[in-house]
Amino acid sequence: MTRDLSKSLERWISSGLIHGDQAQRIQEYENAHAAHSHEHSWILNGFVILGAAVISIGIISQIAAHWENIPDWLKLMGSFLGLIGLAGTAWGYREKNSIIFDTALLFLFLLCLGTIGLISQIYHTTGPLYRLLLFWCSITVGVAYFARHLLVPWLWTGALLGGFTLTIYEAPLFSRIQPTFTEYPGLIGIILFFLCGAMALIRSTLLANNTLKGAFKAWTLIIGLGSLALFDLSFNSPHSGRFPSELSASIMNASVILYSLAVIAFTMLVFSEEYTKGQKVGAVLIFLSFLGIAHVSILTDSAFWRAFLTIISLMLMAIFLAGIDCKRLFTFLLSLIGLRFLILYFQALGSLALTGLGLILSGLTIIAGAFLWQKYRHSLFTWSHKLIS
Amino acid sequence: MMSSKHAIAAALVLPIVALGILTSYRQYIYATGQDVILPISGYDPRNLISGHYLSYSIDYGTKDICPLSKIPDAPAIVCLNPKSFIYGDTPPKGCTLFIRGACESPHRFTAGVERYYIPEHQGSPLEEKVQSQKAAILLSVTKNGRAMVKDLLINGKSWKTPEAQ
Repeated sequence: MTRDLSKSLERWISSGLIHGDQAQRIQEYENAHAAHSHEHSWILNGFVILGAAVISIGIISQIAAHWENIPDWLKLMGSFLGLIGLAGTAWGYREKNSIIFDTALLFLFLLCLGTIGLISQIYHTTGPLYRLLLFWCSITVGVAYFARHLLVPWLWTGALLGGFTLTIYEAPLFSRIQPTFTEYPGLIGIILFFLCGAMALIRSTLLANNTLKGAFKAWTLIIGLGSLALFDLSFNSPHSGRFPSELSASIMNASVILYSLAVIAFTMLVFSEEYTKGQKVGAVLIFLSFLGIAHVSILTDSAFWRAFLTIISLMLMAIFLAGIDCKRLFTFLLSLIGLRFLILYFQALGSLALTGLGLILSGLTIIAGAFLWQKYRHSLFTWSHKLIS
Repeated sequence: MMSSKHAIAAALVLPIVALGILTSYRQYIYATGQDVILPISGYDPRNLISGHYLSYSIDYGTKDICPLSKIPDAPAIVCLNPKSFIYGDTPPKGCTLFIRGACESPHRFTAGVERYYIPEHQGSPLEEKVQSQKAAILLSVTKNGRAMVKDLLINGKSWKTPEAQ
C-alpha cells in the first residue's frame, strides 16, 4: 500500500499535479493513519473472534464427550457461571477494549445456545427447531444490538431468519404442502422473497443501529439471491408448472398470502426516508422483476422466461447496489450476470456446445466476457450510480 | 428513556435471567409433578436412536388417540385417569390426571416427552434393550397437564441401575 502510494506520488509530482512538500505531507499523513488503523486491524479482530468461536465449540465438544461423568447440577452450574463470567467481562470492557467486549459477547451469544441445548438434554425436552432459534434470538437481541463488529449481529440475524423461515414452513397453512416444497423449490423461493422484503423494510424503517443494519443488509442480499436462484433452478423440478389438482388450492393460497406479504413489505419500503427517489424506483423494479420470475417459476415451465427474468433481476439489483455505493457487491453481481449468460448459452446450444466448434465458441465467449467485464466494470458502475442516485 | 449503560446491563442480564427462569420451570415440573409410568416403543424400530437420543412413541392406553386427520399440531389432551382422549385445550370432566399436547398426524399424539437423551456409547445396547425387553418412561405430570421425562425404565428399573444393565 505504502509502496503503491510512493509510486503514485512520484508520478503525480512528475506530472505537475502536486508539489514535493505536498507529497511529503500526504506520505506522513498516510503513514500515521496506517499505523493507527493497524491497531484496529479487522484481520486481527476477525482472527480473535474466529478463535473465540473455535474455543467455544471445543468446550461444547468436551462437555459432550464427558457427558455421563458430570452430574447434571454441575453442568448447569458451570454453564450459568460461564454466562455470568462472560456478561461480567463484556461489562468490564465495554469502554476499554472493543475486541474483548465483542469476543465476550460472541462467547455469551454461543453459550446461550449451548445452555438451551444443555437444559433440553438434562430435562429431556423436545420441540421444533424454529422455537429454539426464535427463543435464542429473543433472549440475545440485546447482545446482537450492542456488538460493535458485524459477526454477532450477522449470526443473530441468520438465526432469526432461519427461525422465521421454519415458522412459515411449519405453519398449518403450509403444512399440507410441506412434502412438495422440495419438489417445488420456487415455493421456498417465495418464502425467502417475502422475508427479503421484510428484512429490507425493517432495516430501513426500524433499525437505528449501524452494525445491525449492516447484518440485515448482508442477509437481505443473501436471501434475495437465494430466492432468485430457487426460482431460476426450479426448472430441475419434475413438476414445474404442473401442480396436482389436490394440491393446487393449497399452493395457490400459500403463494397468494406470501406474495401479498411481500407486496406490503416492499410497498412500505418505498415510503422509507432512507432512499432517494431513483433508489425507490430501483427497489420497485427489483420487486416487480422478482414477482415476474416467481410467477413464471411457479405457474409455467418456460426456461427462457426464467433465464430472462433472472438476468433482468440481477441487472436491476446491480444498478441498485451501485446507486447505494456498494462497489464490491456490484462487481459480484456483474460476475453472476456473466455466469448466467454463460449458462443460458449452454442451455440454448446444449448439443452444439458439445461439439468441437461449440467448445471453441464457448471458450471464446468466456474470454470475451472476462475482457469486457474487466474493461467496462468501472464505467458501468459510474453509469449505474448516476442513473439511480 | 434508558441510558446506554443501563441498556447494555439489561442486554447482558436478559439471557441469564431468561435461561434461569427456563431451568427453574423445568425443575419445578420435575419436583412437583405426579410420577406416571407409561410403556414405550420405537415408532421406527429400525431407527430408534437418532444422534444421542432415543426417539419413541408412548402407549397412553387410549385406543382412539388423534383419530381425525385434522390440521397438524391441533391441540389435544390425553386423560390418564380415567383413560380418554379429547381435542382442544380443556380437559374432559372428571379427569384427574391429564397431559396436554398436540396431534402431529393421525394417531400420533406428542407432548414434548418423546425424546430421551443418552450417552454416545450407550446408543446401540440401549436400543437393543428397548426393542427386546419391556421398556417404559417415567414422567412427571403437573396438575395443569405439563409433562416431563424423568427416567427411562427397562423391566421396571432405571436403565442406569445395575439390574437393568
